[in-house]
Amino acid sequence: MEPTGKPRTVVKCEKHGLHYDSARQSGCVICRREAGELPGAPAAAAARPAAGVDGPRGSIGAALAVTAVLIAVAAFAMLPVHATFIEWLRGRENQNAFETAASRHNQKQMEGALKELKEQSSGGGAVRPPGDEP
Amino acid sequence: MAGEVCVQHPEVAAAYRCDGCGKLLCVDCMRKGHALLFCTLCGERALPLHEGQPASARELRRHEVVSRPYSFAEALGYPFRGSGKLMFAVSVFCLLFIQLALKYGIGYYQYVIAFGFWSLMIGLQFSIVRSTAEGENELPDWPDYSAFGERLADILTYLAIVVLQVGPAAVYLLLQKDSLVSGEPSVIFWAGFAVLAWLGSALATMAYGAAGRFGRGSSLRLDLHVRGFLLGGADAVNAANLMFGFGIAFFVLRLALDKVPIAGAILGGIVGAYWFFTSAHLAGVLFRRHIFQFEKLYE
Repeated sequence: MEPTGKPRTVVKCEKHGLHYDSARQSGCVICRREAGELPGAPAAAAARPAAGVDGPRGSIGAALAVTAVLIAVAAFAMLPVHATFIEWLRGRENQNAFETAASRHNQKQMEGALKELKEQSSGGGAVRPPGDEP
Repeated sequence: MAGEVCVQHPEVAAAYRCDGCGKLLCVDCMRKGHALLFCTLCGERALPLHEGQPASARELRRHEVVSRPYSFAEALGYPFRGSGKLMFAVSVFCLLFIQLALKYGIGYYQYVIAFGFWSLMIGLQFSIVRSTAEGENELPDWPDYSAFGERLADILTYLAIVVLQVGPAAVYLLLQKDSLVSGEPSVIFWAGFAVLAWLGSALATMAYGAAGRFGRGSSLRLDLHVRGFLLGGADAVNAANLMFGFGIAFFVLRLALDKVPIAGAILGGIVGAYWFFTSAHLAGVLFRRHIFQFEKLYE
């Protein structure tokens, strides 16, 4: 069971707007502190924010300055990556060009060989399959 | 304001008012009952002065857990704390095994193994966000292996978050593809890319936190992410900075490590596992710090 006792002599300090029990205390806590009757606040309570966990931590200006630095560093860090990418792309283009040229060359050779075979067959020469020599 | 300080400690802001004697109280002048909060001076119930301040003993206990001091710098040691060390080592080993299986495996088995492993890792990420937001500073248990539907939903949510993260920068590169393939490397071009990548990181941080803490559906609420980010202030910017900075560093490092055959794969696995755990934890820390504001926003 929770206690429910309540003092009836609580009044409000006109100077500071704080409540105090006039039967037991000479004034509100600020008046008594000013008069040297009370010690300072506990360190733990003084360190604790009233707004709880949702209070701001750190400066937004400092955080945005870090963002600007990070963006600049990232932009410079991407330069060598871009250069490597372009090199790779050019290498790939050269490879494609080489492959195209090689395939054209092969095609020409095939066409030449085919033409030769046709000429041989139209001239009456028998075309022997490979390995069928007498 | 003179009326907003504790009646016993004028240097301390008041957080409660006694419902009996009417005195303003700081948290040291109030005590927890079984369910309610009471004034230490008269024993009557203490009521919160501000909206969002814990009004019951249960809320205060939760408040105390989530408001324990914990910096982003401490969050970077997350994978090496408690049972995390073992889990981290297991994850690195599994990542290397999966990499080797994908490279040298035969048939489709390696894809099945990789899919199973990644679905668990993604589920673990959301668990990390959830447990961190609730005040936990050590790795949670692995998610349930047998809940296939849950794991599939996790993967889809993860993909949506990845789209948010890389989407803005990817669209930029697509629109500027001529400069990308033909133009000389320019700092201005990459600064534009970096700005969009940072925005993507900021959105992804909020989406990770929301999906882990408030359910997968909230990961797509871009409007809430923007409002939440603004509410988060410096904390949100710091979290996005860490996500972006580590993301870019990880990307550049992986490209460099790809050129080193075995040591590169091992180092890449270690860096990847570290970032996998830490990024989820950072999003969770942001949501822990602003949990009461974000609860109002997302719920």
